[in-house]
Amino acid sequence: MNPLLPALVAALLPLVGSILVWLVPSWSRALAVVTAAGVLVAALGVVNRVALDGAAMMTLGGWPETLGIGIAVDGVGALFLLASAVVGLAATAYGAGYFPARHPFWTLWLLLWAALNAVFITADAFNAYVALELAGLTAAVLVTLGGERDAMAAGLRYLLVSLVGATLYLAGVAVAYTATGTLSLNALMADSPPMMAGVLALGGLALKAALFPLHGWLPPAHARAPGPVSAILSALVVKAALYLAWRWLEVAPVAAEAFILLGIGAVIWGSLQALRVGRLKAIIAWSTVAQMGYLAVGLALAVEGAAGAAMGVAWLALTHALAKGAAFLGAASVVRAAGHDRWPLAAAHLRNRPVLVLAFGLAAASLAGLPPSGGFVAKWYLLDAAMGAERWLLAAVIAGGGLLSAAYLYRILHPALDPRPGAEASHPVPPVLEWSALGLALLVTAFGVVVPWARDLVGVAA
Amino acid sequence: MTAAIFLFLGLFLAVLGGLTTFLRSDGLHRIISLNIAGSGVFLALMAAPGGEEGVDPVAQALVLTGIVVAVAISGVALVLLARLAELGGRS
Repeated sequence: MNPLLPALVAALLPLVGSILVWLVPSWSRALAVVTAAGVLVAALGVVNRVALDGAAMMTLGGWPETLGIGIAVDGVGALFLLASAVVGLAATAYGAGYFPARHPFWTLWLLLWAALNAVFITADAFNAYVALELAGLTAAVLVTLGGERDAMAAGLRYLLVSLVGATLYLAGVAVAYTATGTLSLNALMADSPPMMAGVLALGGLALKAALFPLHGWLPPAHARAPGPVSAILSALVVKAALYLAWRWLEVAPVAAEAFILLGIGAVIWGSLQALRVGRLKAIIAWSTVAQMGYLAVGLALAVEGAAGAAMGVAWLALTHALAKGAAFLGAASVVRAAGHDRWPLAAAHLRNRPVLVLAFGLAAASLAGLPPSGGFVAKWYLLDAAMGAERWLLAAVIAGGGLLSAAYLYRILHPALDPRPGAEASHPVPPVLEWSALGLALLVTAFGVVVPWARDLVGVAA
Repeated sequence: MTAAIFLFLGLFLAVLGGLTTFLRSDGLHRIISLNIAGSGVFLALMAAPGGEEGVDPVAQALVLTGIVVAVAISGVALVLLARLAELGGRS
């Protein structure tokens, strides 16, 4: 069987689901959970087929490549798809206990999910643009669902940034097309279009991936969004832009050095801000800025051919998605119990919840890169790649960044482990909210063990 | 010759709109200037490829999709701006 069939299912199933949810709103929660289970099965199918049969690519409808919609999966794409499916399932389960059935969240989220999965399987620079814009538009509206003034302002800013990033990316695609006459990402890699195209496209993608110093929109948008939406945005939506940036860095490898410099800036600045801010969700959002820096450094090393860097960055993208999903889902439960997320004031609502504390602890271990966790393995590979390429300064930043993340994560865990009794929740927190966060955290710890299998998978190139 | 004029006009609009977006903090100004910058980019993209012998239909399709996306995003942005104004305070 062809791996492209389950890949198409993973992208089209949420699209069908979002239409059904819109038509039959009273069934939305059941429909969304069934869709999420289906997407997970499809993503596991893609991983399985790619591991057994290798990468695949085709053009839908038999049209020639510039007109037809090209789709492709390789080992890296399969891992991104897996991250999307797992975090998506957890967020859907969480949402079922958080949002009522008749809520715009359901249609918007399934539409966003379809767009994200489409980005991960596309082989065409222009279809990637359409999918990315669909994701940006739905994500910005999801940010505003809470209805508070701050959320509206953050959503508006996110939307305008999205528009700027989109226009830059489109300009890059158009320059590349004019010069080479193709929109296929693989063909562009071979034809090496003018540097201008790569700079424009990568600039737009860096803006959408919140790469330092273009990260200003991310902390308010991710911190003000409603609970499960924050998890989806931080775990998956920035990863879609990152995934495309990887493809475009292969088209324009000259930009790799710039990504390394910006990545170093992001690791330091994001971690320092996470140490300073006084709200739980803001700490986690700034941590995303820092982790995107790691990923940018890893991408650049992988494109420059440092041994092991591709494995490191693919594994970091997957484990960061799971750990950040767990952290934001946990934070959403704290916000629900406390009614706010001022820190460490709200920590009293974390104390008598051992399931949540365990979820935070495991997610923090992976984010800081402590063994045994998926994050440890990913950072080990990145460190090894940096030292293998004899970039000692970079190795120092990767190791020191881990120390900084341990410091800001300690700010979350320390008040939670205070022996004094916890506070009574102002709103009930159903068990599914706590267990979906713990599920992701347990999985990211398990991903510290299944590495040899994954290393073979990342080696499956297009 | 016409292509060169359009290319220059497009880039001029793009820079003008981009600068205004940075200099103004008011929401409506930003949305309008972003649209002007976007139109400039589209104009430049239309002028650049074909030169004198006409325009490539695929490039036209790219720009058309870009316009649709820009209109959709501007529409949602205006709704959000109106909602912000209802809630009061500075945007």
